[in-house]
Amino acid sequence: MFPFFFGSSDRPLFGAHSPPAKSARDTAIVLVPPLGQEALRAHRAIRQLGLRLARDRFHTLRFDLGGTGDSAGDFADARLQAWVEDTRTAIDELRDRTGVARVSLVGLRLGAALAWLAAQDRKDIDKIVLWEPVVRGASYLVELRRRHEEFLRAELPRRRTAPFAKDGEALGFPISRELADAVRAIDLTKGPSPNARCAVALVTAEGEDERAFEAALPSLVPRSRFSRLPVSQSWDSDEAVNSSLVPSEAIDAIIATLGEK
Amino acid sequence: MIREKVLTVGESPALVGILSEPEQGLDKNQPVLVVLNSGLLPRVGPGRAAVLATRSAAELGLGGLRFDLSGVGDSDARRDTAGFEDRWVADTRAVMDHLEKTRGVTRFILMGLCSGADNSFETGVRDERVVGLVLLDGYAYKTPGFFARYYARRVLAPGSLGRLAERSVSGLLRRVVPVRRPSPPPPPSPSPPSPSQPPPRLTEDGHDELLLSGPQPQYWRDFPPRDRVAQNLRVMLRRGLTLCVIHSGARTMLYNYAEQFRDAFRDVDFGNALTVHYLENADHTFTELAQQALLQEAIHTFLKEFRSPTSRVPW
Repeated sequence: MFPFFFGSSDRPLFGAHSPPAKSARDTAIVLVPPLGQEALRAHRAIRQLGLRLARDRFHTLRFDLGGTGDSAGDFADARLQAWVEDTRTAIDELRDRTGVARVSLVGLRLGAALAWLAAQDRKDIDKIVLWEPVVRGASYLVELRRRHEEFLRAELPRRRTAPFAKDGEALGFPISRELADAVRAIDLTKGPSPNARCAVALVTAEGEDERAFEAALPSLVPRSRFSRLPVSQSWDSDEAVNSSLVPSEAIDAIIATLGEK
Repeated sequence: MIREKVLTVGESPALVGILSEPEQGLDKNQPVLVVLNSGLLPRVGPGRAAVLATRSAAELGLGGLRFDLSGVGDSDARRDTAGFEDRWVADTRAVMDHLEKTRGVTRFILMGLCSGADNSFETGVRDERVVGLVLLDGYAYKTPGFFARYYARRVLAPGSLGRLAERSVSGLLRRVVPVRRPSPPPPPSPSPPSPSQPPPRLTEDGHDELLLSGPQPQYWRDFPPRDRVAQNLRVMLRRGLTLCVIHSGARTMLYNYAEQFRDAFRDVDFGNALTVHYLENADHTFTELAQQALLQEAIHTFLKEFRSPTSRVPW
């Protein structure tokens, strides 16, 4: 694994490239992370996924979106469109480093939506794997707020004076009005479609958003599959705040999906 | 302006970190802030606390390094059989060795939350290059002041007088009609949960219930004996080390007033070497943005004292 900074010198992004030990496949993989608490929780899982994909002969790049993780900038200044551009920058970087012509994207939670959006005007995307995708941004924002409030009520049971749920923050991260508006506008069930050879959704949640996406996916990407994972990953559970998850069943399913022709 | 670089220490296994430095590079005469992981959280820390602190250090003209201990975040696991504490102290010293060898830096300030605070403290005891410690929810010991506040809150809690009356009546009845009851389980070790693990679910006055009832989850950490910590504090203070101790209000069953740290170590002469902050409205990982701002302000103020005159901006 080679950790490095890439992208523009005034706004470098942190990335970690895992090259294959032996003859590389002709498609490389970019892993698009989730946000905030979910990114902390998923770090180990995404690292493991990158290493296992490298073992399966894929060049793999995981990276931190601008203003998150080790990448330059402040989260408070982050914008959704800039994260979509960051994802495209990561795709270009991996192609430059490896010489591969085509890239597949694996996005977790909001990272799945970013991968979906980043692939819309590209011609080099092979597969998109949507891992527990945020289907509708509006639902995601409501859920973030609920989790923020529940977590703090549990952590600070004595505090009664100030409200826990505030606009502009969620579980330790600032959510600007611009960012919230852009996230709220996300609705994968309505397109536009990504320009990818195929799309695979790997989902455990069984909510209305997921059912709507399952129904819409075939019309959005003709070669697509909606798969239910057997085990809940608890990405959206407030018990899992500040914990680290490595859901091996999901990782196995992703590796199998990317290995398919 | 600051710049950041990836730093890897060792080859296989390698420790991975990010060095934040002033634009002109590290000044070997200035100390470097080294931030350790909190449990199994990756090096950026909750709410990017480590990113903000190391960048703040670089903006002050010091350096800042956030790195992953072996087996955490991006760092490989070690292949030896050393225990976690020895291993992580060894990792921290390896990182300091690297910065001394490659950059000539000889003084370090260690910072950590929860287990990161414990590892910072233990490294500081063993390594004389450590000149400062920033301990977030680190070791804490109960004092008479703690118990006074603890019981006052219990008595004043809504419904507590009713419960007290109920218990008194049942106690009286038990004396009249003795009932054989099983022995209560031993109280849990009164230490805070690790941020790397899910916090226990608490009821509205759950901290009290935790102290008084039932076995607790296995992810509670033990503190060393107070006397040993006091002795180690004296050793470090004699070396000229300074401390910034910050406690969150989430740990009311362990730390419940600002001066508890000083009171717990009345037999240690801190002189001017100790700063204590008690962020009463903060949870253990300083989740709310307002609490994060207070935390970073406290760290920034502490770090400013380390700048030597040569590093000050002339205005």
